[in-house]
Amino acid sequence: MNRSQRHLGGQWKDWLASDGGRLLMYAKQRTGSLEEAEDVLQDSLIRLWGYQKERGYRPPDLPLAFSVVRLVAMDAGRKTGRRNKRDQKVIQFHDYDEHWLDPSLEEGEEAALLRKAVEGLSDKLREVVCLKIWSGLTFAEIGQVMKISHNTAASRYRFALEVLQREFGHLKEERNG
Amino acid sequence: MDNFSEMEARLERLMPRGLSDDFHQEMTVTIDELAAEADLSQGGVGGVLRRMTMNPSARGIAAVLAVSAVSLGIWNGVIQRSSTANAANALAALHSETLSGGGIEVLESSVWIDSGADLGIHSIDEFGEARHRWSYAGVEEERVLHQDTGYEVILQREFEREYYATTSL
Repeated sequence: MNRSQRHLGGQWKDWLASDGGRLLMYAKQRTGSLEEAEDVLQDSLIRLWGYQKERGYRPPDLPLAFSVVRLVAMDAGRKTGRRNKRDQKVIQFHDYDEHWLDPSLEEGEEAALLRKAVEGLSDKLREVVCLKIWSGLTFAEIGQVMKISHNTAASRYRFALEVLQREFGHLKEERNG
Repeated sequence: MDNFSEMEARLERLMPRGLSDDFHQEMTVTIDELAAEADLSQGGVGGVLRRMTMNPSARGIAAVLAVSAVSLGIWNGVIQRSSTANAANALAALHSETLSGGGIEVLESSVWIDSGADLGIHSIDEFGEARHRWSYAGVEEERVLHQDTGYEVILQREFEREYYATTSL
């Protein structure tokens, strides 16, 4: 590998360090399992590399990266014919190791309740929350990724927060008897 | 959205899990493999050409990015028989002369729009600021004369641009 290639590799490693975590989390949200999500992210990396060839191989911007992860995840779901299983897995996210939110950083029981409320959201609502809160995308960028208008993205986000507030309240009431 | 700020803050504290060490290592190896196979000669030329577009003094030639070259005489034969990379290298030599200030004369230049679309109004933040956006795709073309050899070269660059105006929702 020559100097230019090493420099290029370094740029992509920086990109991975910066965005890899949230892309993996998004892939996990789409696929329902860590193992599949890692496959999706690796496949996405290779595809993004090819897409960026005509742009001098510079690392991709965030909306493009999320769009590719989304498409690869959808493709993987179709190929394996595991869409139904995946949907069930998303609902059954209670297996500790399958959590796509890091339990080690949570503070207290309320965080666990909130996580449960997030997991109870529908796929579409959870996806918007995931992209907005933990991926830091704007509504316009979320619209690009999900192929919806920014207004729809914003509406879904607000509705998701309403649902979360309501469910979070219910769960706290249940806990307190 | 203020009603939700507390909920958003709670959600932000549920941090996403990062990449495991093993998977990070795997991805790093993949990047190294991709980088080792990267054809940087083509990307490098592209980089040179792109930088030229930023140089106002070379604006006449700066239209060259994705190169579609058609030329006359021997040059034509060279381009047709060569790979894209070779054509790009030949044109890069042409550009280096351009940057040094001699040897190239712009005979004709034109720009045309192939398609356009109204992208509508998009919010750019959560405070109500919005922009009306339009996109255009077209081609910039220049016919240039390489004075030392007498070759004429047509250089084309396809472009996509977005324009916007501040507006309100």
